[in-house]
Amino acid sequence: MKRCLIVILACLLSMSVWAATVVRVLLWDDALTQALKKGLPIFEQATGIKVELELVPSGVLLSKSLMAVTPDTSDYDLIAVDEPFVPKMAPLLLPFAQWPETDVYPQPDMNDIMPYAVDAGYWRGELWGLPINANVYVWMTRKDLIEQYKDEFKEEYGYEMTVPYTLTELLNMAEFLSKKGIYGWAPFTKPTEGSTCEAIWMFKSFGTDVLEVCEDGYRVVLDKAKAVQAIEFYKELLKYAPPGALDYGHAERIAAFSRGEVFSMFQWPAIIPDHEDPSKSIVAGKIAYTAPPAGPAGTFAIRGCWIVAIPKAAKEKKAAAEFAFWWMAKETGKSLIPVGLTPARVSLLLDKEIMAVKPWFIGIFRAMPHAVARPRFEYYPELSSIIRTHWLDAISGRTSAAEAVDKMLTEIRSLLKEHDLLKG
Amino acid sequence: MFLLPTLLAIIFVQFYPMFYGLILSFTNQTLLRVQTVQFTLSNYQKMFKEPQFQYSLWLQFSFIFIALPLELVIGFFVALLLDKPFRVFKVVRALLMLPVFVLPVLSGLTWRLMLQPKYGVLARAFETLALGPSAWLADTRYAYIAILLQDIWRMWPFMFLLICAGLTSLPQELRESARLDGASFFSETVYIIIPCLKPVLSMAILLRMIDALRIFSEVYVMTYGGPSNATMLLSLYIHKQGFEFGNISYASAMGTVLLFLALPLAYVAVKKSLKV
Repeated sequence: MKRCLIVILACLLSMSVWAATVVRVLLWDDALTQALKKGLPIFEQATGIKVELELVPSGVLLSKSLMAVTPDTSDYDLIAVDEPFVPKMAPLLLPFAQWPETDVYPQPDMNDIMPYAVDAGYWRGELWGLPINANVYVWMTRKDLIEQYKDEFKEEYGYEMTVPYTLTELLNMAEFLSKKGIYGWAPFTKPTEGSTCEAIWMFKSFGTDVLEVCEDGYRVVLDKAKAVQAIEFYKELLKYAPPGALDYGHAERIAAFSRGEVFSMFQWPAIIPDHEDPSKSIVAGKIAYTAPPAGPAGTFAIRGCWIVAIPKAAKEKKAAAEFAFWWMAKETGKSLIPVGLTPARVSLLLDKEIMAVKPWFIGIFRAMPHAVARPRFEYYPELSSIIRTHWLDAISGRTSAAEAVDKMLTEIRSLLKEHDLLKG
Repeated sequence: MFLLPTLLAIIFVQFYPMFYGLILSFTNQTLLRVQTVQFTLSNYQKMFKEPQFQYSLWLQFSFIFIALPLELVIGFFVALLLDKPFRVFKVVRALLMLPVFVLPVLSGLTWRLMLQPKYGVLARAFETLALGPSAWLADTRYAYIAILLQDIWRMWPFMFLLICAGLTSLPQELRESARLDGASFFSETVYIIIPCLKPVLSMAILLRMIDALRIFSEVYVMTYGGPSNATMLLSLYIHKQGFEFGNISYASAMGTVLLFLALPLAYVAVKKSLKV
């Protein structure tokens, strides 16, 4: 009996030595990460590391991460962090400079990653993870409508109808096309993060930021006059948006554009494939991709890059690094881009063969140099809620633009004071 | 000894989370868990000064005091209507019960689609009848009405089911003798049916009230608490503070206050249900 037990114990111990390393990965769920799933067998075969991949809706990823990761314990070895939440999550993460050396996949050449994507992972001088997608507002415009109406437009407005390069041009084209039964543009107005992006984009386009990061706090730098101008312009644009535009989210925007009802609007790269799929969209092949139109202060595109980060308390840090480096490997990008991956590498974005089937990649490349981040702040979720609530109140006419901006300023200062972070 | 497993289960599943939540509400703990835990009354002090908390509490209780009576009235009268069995009574009853079996998330999503201005069937109907704006869910008043309508549509069959069961257990001789004495439908309902159904009605109200205090999924998918926090019921606001902002101690404090405000209502409902 005793001998039997010793043999069983020895077997169990040796099995644990030979058992594959398991890396637990938490990511958001969209076309990009679904594409990643298809490549897992290649990674597992090359490294012998088993991957447990959990995909959750992007809107709940932050709360899921906060519940699963603490300074002392972590349910995951690698987590995706949306860039506005990097300041909040940073205390729980291992700086990229301290990631372990890997055996199979080397660290990617950071010079080949879009610089503005790398920026997304920085906070207070430290890079907190590996940027894995070049996610930025890409502007889509219907080439066929330009072709159809360019002569008539020139006759009426006195200049060539092209992709709108300025917000004024967008407004003119929207006004013109409204007479043809086409909506010039589609906003994002659901009370979620998308509306904060719209607010920040317009504020930047009209020349104002919200917060300035100081060494030991923040200054509120939102310029009331410019913010009001931005809001009033957005309200003008809303006149040429589809019915129900004050309750427009991703689903409504995708449907309206794919049905050919909308002339021009922004879109996130991960959603664009649906517009270029002939089985889902009647405008497939008819879209031009550029950076967003410029406001008085210049061209700006909201950046929404994701990083993958290793929690300080992760058990399998080396395996996590191996997985992240595999994800960013050129070969992985080339094999998974056809099935939905959006790369962060310049060489892949500009690859002629890939661009032939993914024409929007040039839009990402064109928009990235104009990329702007949402305010970098440890309490960003609260700040985002303040901005979008009053932004939506203003653009819907529930309050005046001036009143909305005043409330924004008051509540942002209050939030900073509450955490003893208000400077100046 | 034999009750011990059940008692342990009740303690761990029911009392421990409540107790933990109460303790948490007196700390400065957040989901980030990087700060030193300190005991403080600041959550409660902040809560009673915060306009959003007061507004969300008002929305939550308004929701209960509007939706519940309407569900009760509709359920009661439909139960009375179907009191006398007829040929396809069971089929009709089963069909009427269907909304209750729809998942809250599915119900919320369906109503959101039905109210979509461009292709929503309800949006088109309301537009034809000149009822409200084109985008109900983008209007602060109509978004609240929409979530009320959704809840009433989904939950009146629940009231109907309980009242139906109550009606079948009513002593029929009371009703027959009332009719023989010349009592009208109104008199029979007010003086015989309702008094006899009091325990059932109280239990129905209590159960619906517990459910209405926890309402979350359907409102979240319909409106996310917007527009302009017009549908930010306290249950949603607690979720927002706890899981979006990570302020779990503040969320626990709000949850505790909601529990203590709901207890008197529950007490009254239980007391009424025990009085025959």
